[in-house]
Amino acid sequence: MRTPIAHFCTWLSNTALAHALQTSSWIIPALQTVHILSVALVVAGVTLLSLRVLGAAGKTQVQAEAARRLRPIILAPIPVLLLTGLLQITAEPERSLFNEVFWLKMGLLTAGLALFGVYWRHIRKATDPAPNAAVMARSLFALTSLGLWGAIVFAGRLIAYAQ
Amino acid sequence: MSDLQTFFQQLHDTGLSTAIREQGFWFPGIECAHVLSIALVVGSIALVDLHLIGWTWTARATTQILRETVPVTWAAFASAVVTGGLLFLSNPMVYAANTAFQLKAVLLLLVGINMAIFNIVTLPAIQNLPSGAPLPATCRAAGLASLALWIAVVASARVIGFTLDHFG
Repeated sequence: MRTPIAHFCTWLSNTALAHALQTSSWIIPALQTVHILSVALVVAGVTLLSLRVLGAAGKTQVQAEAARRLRPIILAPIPVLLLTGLLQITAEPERSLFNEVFWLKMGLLTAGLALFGVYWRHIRKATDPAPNAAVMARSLFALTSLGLWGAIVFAGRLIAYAQ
Repeated sequence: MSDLQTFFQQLHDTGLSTAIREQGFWFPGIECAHVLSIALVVGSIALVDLHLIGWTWTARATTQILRETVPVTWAAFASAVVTGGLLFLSNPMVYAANTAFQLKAVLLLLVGINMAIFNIVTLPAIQNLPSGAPLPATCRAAGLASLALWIAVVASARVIGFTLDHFG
């Protein structure tokens, strides 16, 4: 018996948009290039923020200001990533939707964004100097974020291998 | 056979090359590390470029932004060179003969030239500019050139994967 998701994949891969994406030789690599460039901005933003939180870089600015400056770098590329990701899924739905690594990546992405949301709510109202407990929590955020976004990039590359 | 081809053949026959080529997890693992390194290189450089063309962080001094990003860029670049070298080592002749790979090598050379011009000519001229002062047109040109070149580097890198399908 075919599952609803299998029906959806069949339907999606037969749409005119999917056909256009499949028959072009350059659209998919172009989408992937935009996807990687957008990921690059997010990862660079997360890394600079984490280094600032850990006190290793950008100390000329208080942390809340650094976070305010880096927030658009981390969040603005997300819609571009979703769009270029969705178009890649449309071209080849089974490649992702039946792929465990793809769903792992989506889980990690959700966790990464949620974690940043929690941190942002905390830091935007934070006062300097921070109490020790807050410093510990922020350091934990920084290290977890670095790990999560690294894992997201790894999983993104491994989707192609886990089919 | 030219000397270069003989050298590539020797590289190809090394134990490390064989291991990366034939052990299932080595190639994808190194690739993952390479993509992450490239993302950090391109992302950290793009942040400087976007500032140079006047799009982001306009109130912040260029030197301050560079102090923050350059260590990240160089650390990630070192990792990208090592991981990229290992990927190349896995199949030297095939990569060397690939047009997209050759294009990427030329683009990286141009990136280096653009960066050298920026560091030697453009940067000293704005060293004492106060934070938030408008940047000269030379900065805008350097930023635009860098952005365009890095976009082309990533595009050509992605095309290597499409035109070089020896790992299935």
